[in-house]
Amino acid sequence: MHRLHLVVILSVAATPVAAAPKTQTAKMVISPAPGQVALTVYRARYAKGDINRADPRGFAMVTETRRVRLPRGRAELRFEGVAEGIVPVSAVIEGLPGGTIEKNRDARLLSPASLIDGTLGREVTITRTDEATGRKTSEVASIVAGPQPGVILRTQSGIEALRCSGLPETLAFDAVPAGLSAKPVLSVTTDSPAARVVSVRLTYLASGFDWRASYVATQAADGRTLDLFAWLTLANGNGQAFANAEVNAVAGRLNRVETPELRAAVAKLRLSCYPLGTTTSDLKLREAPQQEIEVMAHRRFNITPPAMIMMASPPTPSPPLPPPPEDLGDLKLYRVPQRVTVAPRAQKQVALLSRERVPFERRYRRTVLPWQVLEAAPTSAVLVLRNESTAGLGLALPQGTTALYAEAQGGKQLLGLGALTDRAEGETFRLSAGRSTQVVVSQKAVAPQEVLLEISNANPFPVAVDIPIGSPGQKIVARNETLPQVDGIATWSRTLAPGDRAELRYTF
Amino acid sequence: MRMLYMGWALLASASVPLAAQEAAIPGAPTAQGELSVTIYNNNVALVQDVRPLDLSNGRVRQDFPDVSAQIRPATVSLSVADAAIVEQNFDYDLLSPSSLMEKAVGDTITLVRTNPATGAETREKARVLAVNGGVVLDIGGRIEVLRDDGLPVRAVFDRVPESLRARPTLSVMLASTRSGSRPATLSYLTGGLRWNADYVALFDDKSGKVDVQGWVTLQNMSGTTFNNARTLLVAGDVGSSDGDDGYRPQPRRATRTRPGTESADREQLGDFYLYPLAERTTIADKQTKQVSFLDVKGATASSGYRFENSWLANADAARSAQSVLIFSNAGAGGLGDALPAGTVRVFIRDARGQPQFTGENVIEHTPQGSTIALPTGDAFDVKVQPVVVSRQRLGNDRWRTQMRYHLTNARSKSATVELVQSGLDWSDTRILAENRASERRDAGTAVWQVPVPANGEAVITATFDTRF
Repeated sequence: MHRLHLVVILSVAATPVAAAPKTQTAKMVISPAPGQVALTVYRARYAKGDINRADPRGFAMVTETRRVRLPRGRAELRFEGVAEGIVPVSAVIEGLPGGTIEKNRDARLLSPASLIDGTLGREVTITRTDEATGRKTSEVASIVAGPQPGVILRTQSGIEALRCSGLPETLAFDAVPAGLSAKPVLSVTTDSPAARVVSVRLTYLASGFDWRASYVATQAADGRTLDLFAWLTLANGNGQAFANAEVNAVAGRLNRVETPELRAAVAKLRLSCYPLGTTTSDLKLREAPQQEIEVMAHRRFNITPPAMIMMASPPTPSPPLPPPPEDLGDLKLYRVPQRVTVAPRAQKQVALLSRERVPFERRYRRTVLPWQVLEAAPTSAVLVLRNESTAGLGLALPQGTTALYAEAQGGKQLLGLGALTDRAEGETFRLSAGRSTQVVVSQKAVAPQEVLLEISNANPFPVAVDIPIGSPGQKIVARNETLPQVDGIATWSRTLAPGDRAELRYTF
Repeated sequence: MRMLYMGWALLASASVPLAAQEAAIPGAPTAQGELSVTIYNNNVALVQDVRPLDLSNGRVRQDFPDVSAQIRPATVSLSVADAAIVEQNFDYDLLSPSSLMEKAVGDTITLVRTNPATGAETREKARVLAVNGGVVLDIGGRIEVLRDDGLPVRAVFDRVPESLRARPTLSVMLASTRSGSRPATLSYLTGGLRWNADYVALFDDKSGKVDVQGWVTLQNMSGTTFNNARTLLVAGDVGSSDGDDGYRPQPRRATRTRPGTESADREQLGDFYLYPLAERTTIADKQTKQVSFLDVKGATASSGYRFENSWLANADAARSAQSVLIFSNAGAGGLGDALPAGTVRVFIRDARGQPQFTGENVIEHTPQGSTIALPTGDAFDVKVQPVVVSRQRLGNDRWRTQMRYHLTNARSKSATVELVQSGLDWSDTRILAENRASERRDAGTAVWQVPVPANGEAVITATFDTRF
């Protein structure tokens, strides 16, 4: 049904293949920067805790609209200013009236080594500086070999190795060899029927982005409800700014495929010399003048303190909240309601959601295994919430970090830090409220296969305690009661009055 | 690489008159002739290079610059009229400061000393006695070590030894029976070139349609630019001693394909489909090049869910099911073409009509007529919580295991989840009881198709009698 572009191209191509035309000289059109940008950010695969700002492991889909002036006939359109983490094979270009004949990504970069490689056999100027007088002498030489593992020159005197004489020597080149560029270049070849200005849409995936939800829960003084606020925290580890961009974030796990990356060919230039050991080179103090100069282009990652563009802290003044997430297939799409600028190597936070007076239940919990010996082991305090509209929630909650505060005399106090995984509507989830050494668990063996478990509460208020025992499906028989199975694990639940303690004897 | 060629011309004028004939085309951009490149999937490419050779009568040594830097020299063959090949050489003794000095042992070189105070130069001749960790010289009967005092000394050589090359170089000794110019066909295998397909699939759940664009993506990591080459891509792995048979774990979300039996309307080479590029193209070094080969609108597609539980896996919180895109490449209603191996990237339009990326996965070479179930990721709203309800030991090596699977759907649309309990293939396994009929597709798995209503849930229970 679709014998496609290939056929189209054949009919467009002026000369038949048999004539073996030399590469048609295509006119080059450069699109220096995008006009409008939309950015959809996806999380790192095993995202836990905070974003790794030095190396954000998620990615983004970047959609750029660019206006370009195309000449009639064949032209090469080069896109500059794309994110450096671009996955070139993912690039889709729409809006070219002449179609896409081919799409190229060139990663031969200009570097000291590629300069020598590209000038092999050609003439260069070698300049030596007299260290005593500062006088420079230049002569024309040609490069006979290089860049690995050293550079050999033909000078007027004869054959010499660069920088092996101990004299300051430098090479000057007439021109940059063809085909080398400062950054990897994405380009398309197109064949326009007429010269015109067109609007081109370029979509691509780029690595070096990430996002998280950062939940801030504030427990009300009554101890029964909390206010839940969340930031959408996103990071851009690329060197490109996305000005005035439409920003979305997608929650859910996507399958990704490792794309073989053509490493930008930035070989280091290593000038090695013939052996230069001397009669004294095994003496410790004086090193043999081993001339090895390493010239290396490397990518710098500025780990300057990230520009935290904190918006005014909630709730005054109330930041604009995004609409509830929309379904994107089986994923969730969160829109940032206004256009924002995502700065290079920066982290940004915008409001994601805000819900008030969400009821919760405070419980204490510790998983024990029958063979464990415990003495006054602390429990984890958790707030159990239902993600339902009747409970004031009822929306897809993306995974992220949680911080729980309590309103207390003298202001807010931090109660607990934790993490949350993706929670769909209708699910139950727990917010970490710290470790309690007031509610503790002890356990010891009293007979073969028989264990005594004890819990106690030193708080001036009653507490609900859950102790899951053993592994899923394991048979746990308590002496005086039947333990219900919660999530496949036999669980002992008790409410302890202030200062109360309780015991359980079980066999396994 | 033309520089290399000119470099040899320069050298040749000094030392090797045999190669001088190549300098005939000054400023030629490359020594490559009319190129044809055939690229296979497993890092093998066949290069055919037709170059005009101007040969004299008799024995002629002919260098071939600008061949692939990753040439497999043992695979080279050359055919040229009225000439026979005496020998074929691949020289990789590379020219470097060390090799230059080592080859100069016994020869005389010039030392240029610079006075550090005045900058005045003095020259003297020296004979290289040995190069072992340092350079020992004989300067007019005086034995010295080069740069023993650390002061600047330039060591100047008269010539480059003939055997040293700037790059590994292919050369052929020919016995020519007549002089004159004629085309020579050089062909060889090389590594560093590969290709695969990349697909862009825009899926519309409402209409159940998918638009698919296919691109062939070829990558050149060979270190050499192939100029103006006729390019042919072969969808297939030719057996190769380079192929690694390394262990690869089965990915968690593997694409499942029911192979089709239709023949695609494409040129074939043996069992391989061919994808020729429509016109000659330059494959630059370190380049990724993409050319369109497929553009289909409105093929039938659907979405589904799958959850696979490994044996005795229990979860204290519900886990997401995989979302799977199902489509076919049959002639009727499908993509209507064989699909070369590659990555399928799936996009779905958001509420404003903007396509958004929703995941990707790989397909193998897929014959036409196949049905492809491509997992794109995990569903946010469709989850399964597997629970091991009880484990009962029946005897020495018999266990009774009760499982419960709690399926939830927070979407406003009903969903059907393919629930798979795997890991049942250790000897005989029986399902003693289940609340919904399962299908045993193979010894290892039991599969339930579970409809879960919109904003609802479903529970599957099953009791297994197993050896473990």
